[in-house]
Amino acid sequence: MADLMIDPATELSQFQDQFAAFLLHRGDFAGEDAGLRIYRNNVMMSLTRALAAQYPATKSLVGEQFFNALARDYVLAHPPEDPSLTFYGDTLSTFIAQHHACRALAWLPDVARLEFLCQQVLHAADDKSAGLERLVEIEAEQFDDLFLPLPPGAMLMQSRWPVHLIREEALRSDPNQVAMEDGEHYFLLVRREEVTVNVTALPEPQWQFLQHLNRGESLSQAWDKLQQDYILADEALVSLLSQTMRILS
Amino acid sequence: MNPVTVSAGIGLKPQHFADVLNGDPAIGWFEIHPENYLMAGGPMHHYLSAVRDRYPLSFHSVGMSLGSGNGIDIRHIERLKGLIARYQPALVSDHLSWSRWNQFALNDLLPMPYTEEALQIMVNNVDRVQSILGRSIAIENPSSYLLPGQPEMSEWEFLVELARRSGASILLDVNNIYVSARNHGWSSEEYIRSIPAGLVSEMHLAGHKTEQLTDRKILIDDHGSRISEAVWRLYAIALQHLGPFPTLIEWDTDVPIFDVLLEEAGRIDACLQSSRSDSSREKRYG
Repeated sequence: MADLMIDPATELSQFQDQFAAFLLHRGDFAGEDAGLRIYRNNVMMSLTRALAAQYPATKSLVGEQFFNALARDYVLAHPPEDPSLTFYGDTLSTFIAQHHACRALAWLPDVARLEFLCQQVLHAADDKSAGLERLVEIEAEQFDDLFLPLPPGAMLMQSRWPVHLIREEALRSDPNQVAMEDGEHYFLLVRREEVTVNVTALPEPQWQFLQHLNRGESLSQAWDKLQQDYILADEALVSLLSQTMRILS
Repeated sequence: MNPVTVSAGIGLKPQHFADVLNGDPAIGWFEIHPENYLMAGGPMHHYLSAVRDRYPLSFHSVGMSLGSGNGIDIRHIERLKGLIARYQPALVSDHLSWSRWNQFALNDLLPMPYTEEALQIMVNNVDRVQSILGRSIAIENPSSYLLPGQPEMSEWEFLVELARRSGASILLDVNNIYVSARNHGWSSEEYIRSIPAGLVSEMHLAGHKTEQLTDRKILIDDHGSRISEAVWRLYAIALQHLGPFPTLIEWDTDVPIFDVLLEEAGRIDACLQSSRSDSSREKRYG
């Protein structure tokens, strides 16, 4: 492993330290040159473009100029650490929530959070387990031991804003206004079907039931909690259970 | 593993998955950036697997950072190894450049100082990558806009020496030669004539753009337009000097409809055809 013990004081390392610091606006580089600026622009442009590709609705909502300025601040504060940019920008939602220029856009962090969940779901592992087929053969007594987390290509999110509708409209070429109502809560399921991701709003009891299951509670525990927390008619319970199983299959 | 034949290949973009899978185009092979396929599952793997069933693949990495002064990122190379095991590409390559600094991945092909010290560090890095991957890789000459430090040798001397000492082959990017030669005042032809054919395994062609600075023009390798006529002429010289090699058309920004890439690929195949009748050499790689 001798080649790992490279002397950090090599001229190459010194040059790379200075050059990289210059690229990330963390230091100067001797001999200001047009070439230097081209590299700095290229790094910024490629990373801004990568963020724009992850966050198309966020970009469309704030406009290109605003988004590029935001992306630039983000890139400088959080340069990527993985040469694969598939999940670059995982903390953009938190960054937006703390960014002074976004203060008036209270719903924007949740739109960004939803967009990132869509990326995660799109690229999640392919689920090869046959959850529902197993279930048919299971007797009610065994429900205590049955654990049914969401498949990798599905995630849950809740928001005070109808971010699923905001995202949908933002991605249209001719978006409509989305009505926002105070005090509302939206319970969302982000799910990959075939090769696309769909976001749907679920009734609160069903979402909570899925959330319990996904947090590692057994089917019977989740079922008990559901009946403690919500008063539902038998019919509603049956339909909720069958819809849930469809989601889990 | 399906070998890549001496033919035109196309850089595969997600917007062309359907064209490729529904149209069955007569293309020799496809090249991808493996960094775009390191996710666990989903459509990227779904489509790449389908393409892999019909065409040979080449993996052109942009993230090994072979020129890093503080060694390679073994975790990343191990991930690439897993992807290589899954898809069995005929060719694996990266660049004569660096992109990693401390924990950061700068997502660009940054310039190397052409010094003996940098050369030896890069040879060590390439050695290590090749021993982890269990195969030799090809190294591509980059486009550059700056020559750092006090060069002790030319870029082509650095490239040839790197290949000789590490056992890697050369991926000769003819557009990059043109861009760098114009930016630094080198002779593109001298560059090409200094490359031994026995070290080359693949060639690349792409478009570039010209940017007007206050005092001069600079060429930028943006892979965003058709291959320029000057680069086609240089390609003909490269084929004449080196013989025919698998050649890729790369187009990464403002990606056009697939037919435009097919046209460029057709022109590459015509060049390869006439080069083949010149040299009557037939080679297979991978």
